[in-house]
This record gives sequence, C-alpha cells and structure tokens, in this order.
Amino acid sequence: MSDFVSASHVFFDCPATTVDEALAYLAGKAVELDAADDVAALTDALKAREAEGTTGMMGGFAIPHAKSAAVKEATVVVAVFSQGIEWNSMDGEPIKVAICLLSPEGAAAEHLKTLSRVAVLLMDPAFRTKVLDATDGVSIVEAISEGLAK
Amino acid sequence: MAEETTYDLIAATGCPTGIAHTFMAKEALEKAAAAKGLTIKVETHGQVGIENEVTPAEIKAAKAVIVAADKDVQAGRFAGKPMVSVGVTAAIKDPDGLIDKALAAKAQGEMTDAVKNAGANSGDVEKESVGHVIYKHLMNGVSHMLVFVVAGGVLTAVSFLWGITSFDSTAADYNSFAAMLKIIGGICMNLMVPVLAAYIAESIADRPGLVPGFLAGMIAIQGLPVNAETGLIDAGGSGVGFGFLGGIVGGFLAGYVIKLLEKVFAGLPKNLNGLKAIFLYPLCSAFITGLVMLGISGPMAAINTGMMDFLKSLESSGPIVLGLAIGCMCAFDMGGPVNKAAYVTGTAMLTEALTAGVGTDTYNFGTNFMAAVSAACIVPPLITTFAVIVGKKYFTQEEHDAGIVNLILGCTHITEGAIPFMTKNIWPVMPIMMIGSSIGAILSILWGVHDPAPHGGFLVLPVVDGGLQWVIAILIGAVIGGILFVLFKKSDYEKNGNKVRE
Repeated sequence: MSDFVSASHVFFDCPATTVDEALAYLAGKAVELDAADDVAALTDALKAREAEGTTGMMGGFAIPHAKSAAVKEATVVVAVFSQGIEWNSMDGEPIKVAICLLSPEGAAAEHLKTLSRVAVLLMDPAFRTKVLDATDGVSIVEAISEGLAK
Repeated sequence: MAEETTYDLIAATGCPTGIAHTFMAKEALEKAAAAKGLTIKVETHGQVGIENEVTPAEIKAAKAVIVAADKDVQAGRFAGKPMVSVGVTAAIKDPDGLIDKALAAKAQGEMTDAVKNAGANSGDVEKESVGHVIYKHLMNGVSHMLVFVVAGGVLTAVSFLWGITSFDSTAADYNSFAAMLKIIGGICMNLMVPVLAAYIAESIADRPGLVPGFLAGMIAIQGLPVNAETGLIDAGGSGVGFGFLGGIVGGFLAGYVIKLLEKVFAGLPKNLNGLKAIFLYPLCSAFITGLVMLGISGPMAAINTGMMDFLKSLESSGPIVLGLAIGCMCAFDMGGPVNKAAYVTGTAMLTEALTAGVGTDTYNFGTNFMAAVSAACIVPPLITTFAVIVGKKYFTQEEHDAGIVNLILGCTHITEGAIPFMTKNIWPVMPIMMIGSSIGAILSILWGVHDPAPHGGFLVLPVVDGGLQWVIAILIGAVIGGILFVLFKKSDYEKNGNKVRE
C-alpha cells in the first residue's frame, strides 16, 4: 500500500487527445510503474468499463477505473492532459485530469474502499481546485492523501 | 446500529464495477440531503458487497426512496414507498432534483411484509426474534442448497435407467456413461451439505463465513476419520458423518466463529485489515471450526453403532414396532448416523438373506426388512410432491418446482430431495416425515413385501415380491404425510397474514 499514491504515479503533459488514447496511456504507465503487467489487457478492461457508461465526471475530471487480472496491486495513476479531452462528461466539459483507479481481481476490501474514497474526493470542489492548480506530482499526492486522511 | 434512528430518505446506489460511481452517488446524495436539512441513509452495492444496509424498519419510516443504480439492488424491498429509480450517474449529476422528485413521487405497489410488519421505530433489527434470525440464516443455506439436490438427484436418477447397478463395472448391467452420470450426480449431492453450511455461515458473517462454513459442511458429511485397526484418529481412516443436521450445526458454528473473531481482532491496527481478510479470518476460523466439528463428529460413529444394535434388538418385536423404528430412523437425520444405521442394517440383512437363499427364513426376513427400509426412504420426497401439488398456494414457486422434481427422486429412492424442506422447518416437518415413513415401513412389513435390491426405488419393482402392495404402502405413507405437511403449511400461511412465508 505504500505506493498506493505517490508522486511517481502522477504524469503531467500527457499528449493524449481522445479517450482511447488516454486509457492506453494510463495502462502503459501502470505497467511502467510495475503496478500491472499487461498493457493490452488493462486497456481493454478500462475501455470495457467506459463502454458501460462514461467515467467523465464534472469540473474537468474523469475517473476511469478497472478491476483486472492484469493489475498487480490496487493503485492510483493520475494523468494531467496537455489539452482538454472530449470525454462525454456529465457537465459536457472537456477533461483535464484523469484519476485512474486500478484494482486486481480479488482485491482486499480495504484497498477497494480506499479506491472508492479517492473517487468520492472528486465530489469536493475544493479538492478539484487543488488538483487543477497543482504544478507538481507532490502537491496532487498531498491533496489526495489529505482527502483520504479526513 | 442499536440507536433508534429514522431517516427522511433511504437510498441504494450501485454500479457494475462498484468502485467509483456507487460511492460518488452516495456522497452526492448525502450532501444534497444535508443541504436541504434532510437525513438520509445510503446503502451501497459496491465491489466489497453491500454496505450500510437499510433495514425494513428504516424503509418503513422513510418519506421516500431513491434508487440510483446500474445493477440490481433488490428494489423490490421498496415497493409501496414513494420512489424514484434512476441510473447511478443521475444521482451524481443532480442529487438535488432527484430528492425533490422522490419526495413528490406517489407510492406504487404494496409494501412487503418485512416492511409492513417492521416496528415504526427502527432498532427493529435488534428486536427481531431469535427464531426469525435463525430461520433467515437457515433459509439462505437452504435456497443455495436446493439446486444442488435437484441437479445431483436427477442425474443420479437418470443413471438408474441403465439399471440400478449400472455404475458398477463388475455388474452385468454396467455402462460407463451411466457410471459417469452417477459419479457427477453423487458429487453434486455431496456438495449439498457443505453448501448449506457455507451459506448459513455467509448469512451470519458475510463472505468470511464461507471458508469455515464449507469446511464445517465437509466435516459434517465425512465425520471424524478413525483407523479401523487402532481406533485412533487417523487422516487415512474413515468416519461416520453427521448428515444435514451436522451441516446446520456447522453453518451456525462457522458464522458465529467469524463473529467472535471480528470481536477478538477489533483491536488490531487498521492497516492490518487486508491481512485479516485473507489470512487471519480464514486461518483461525478454519482451525477453530474444524476442531469443534471433528470433536462433535466423534460420537457419531458410536451413535451409529448403537442405533444398529438397537434396531437389531427389535427384530422379533413385531411389524408395528420394527416398522415404526425403521420409519423414524430413516426420516430422522437423512444422511446422518441414525438414518445410516437403518439403511446399513437393511443392506446387511439383505446380504445375509441373499446368501441364505430364496425360501429360507433369513431370506424372507431380510428382504422384508429391506422393503421396509426402502419404503421409508422413498416416502419423504413423495410427501413433498403430494404437498406441493395439493397445497400449491402455500408454497413458494421454488419449493413447488423442487417438490415436483422430488417425484422423480422419490421414485428412485433418493431421499435427499426432502432435505431442503426439512431443513426449512425441522419442526414439524421432521416428525411428519417420520410418521409418513413409518406408515410405509409398517405396511410393507405387514403385507409381506420382499425386496431383494438395496436401492433403485420403483425401478426395481419387477424383482419385488408384492410390488403392488409395496407401492400402495408407500403411497399411503406419502399421502398421510403429505396431508399433515399441507395442514402445517396452511396454518403457517394463515399465521403469516395469508401469505407464503419466503
């Protein structure tokens, strides 16, 4: 759990311009971080979830997520996009930040709960502002950790 | 949970993955309700299961219900309440509007009994009678078990179509396909008691209950293995199982062991929660449940031997006493030590009879005895068939269908079909079964029926001497037992406000 959220999981200037590209990018990063072991399988899992209903939320945030055997441990990967992505979001706004929640098959309840709490953080406008204003990974991780500690 | 809280609003949220939206919708609804000065309780159907579950009393007390889910959240519970039902994102997008809509909605349908009868104040869950709590846990086990009995029983019955010894490669009617059917059917039926125990435990303690529950159920059917030579506990030995009654005991034991462990481990730091779930609970609960189950299985072998001796001692006490003993033993603990004592004694006497040869007294007595045992084993499933046909409206659809399948199981001597019905209401169904079986057994003895086959039900009729009387004896037992069963279900139905008790 120590690497659950860390600055190394936050990526700025992500070049993706479509949802599919963004999902592939996130899956790729998860594998680079050694949190998952199969880019293609993970991308598919994220896409499958997206197909069940958009994860584009409000205020420029998306929360793609997946439970997949390709994931090694429950983790969060954050991507800040260099340009807004059309994500069919709830408020119609383009997505600037994706907070991606990844869970292995059969994850412990405690890990799943933590992932869920990260999702709930997005409902808080103050949290969203903090993340949007952040210029480095450390501040985003701080915002998440603070939120989880509440 | 004990405080008497009621909520203005009740909600249930759920999404397919159960990680993000379910909980975001909960947050959104709670915030919007708070902003309106309303109280709300949101039940979440997430990846970890159902959390913050609403009680019937809370549903009853609420002004309105909101269902925001893209999966089944058992919305049937909310019938008769003002309700809106939408996709999960709608609650995240516009929780405010949703609450207004719910409060303005008109109630539709009729409240379920659980809700209607719930006390106006919550805390009703706490006051739920012990009997009802036990029944609820038991029913969770029974409903999961039922399908195993049906699948296993029917496959076994079909295998008999090739002949009742067609599974035996040394027998004349051997057929390898029939053997495989019997293997599959047998394994499926053997899973019955473990599944019963596991889902009783799951009902008590949620998912962690499954491990000790399955374990307890397996021990219930296998007993405490003992080495035949040394008489000592031996992993290579064999034991006498405890049957479905042991499965019930084991299920409750397993569930409450987990409850106990939850208390014991409550003091551990939170970051050990993951370790608890995958390591401490399974390990400790399996150990404790296993030891206790083996301990209480120990006397089963002695009970078994004792009952066999008892039955043998009744040999010369006349048809009524002997038939009564056979009937009561066969229907008492299907698959347990008492039932097995009757069946094993029957087959042992049959072997002696067949060795002695046709015409001898030993032959006559042994085959007559076997006919009584078989009749007593065939009657219970047929009682359920009769009852679900005659008293159709007193049974759930599921029970009705299982009762119909029991016609096949009964006719092929697969007593197990009656177990789910008995488990649901041991009292008074077990005594009813015992009465029906006894009548079948007594009449079989009185009318001098001789059955030279140890199994097979009506499929062996061609070799039964006095087959017609035998069938009539069994049918009389089934009809009398069936009438009693219907009378019980009828009174239960009326007590429950003219509704079938689920």
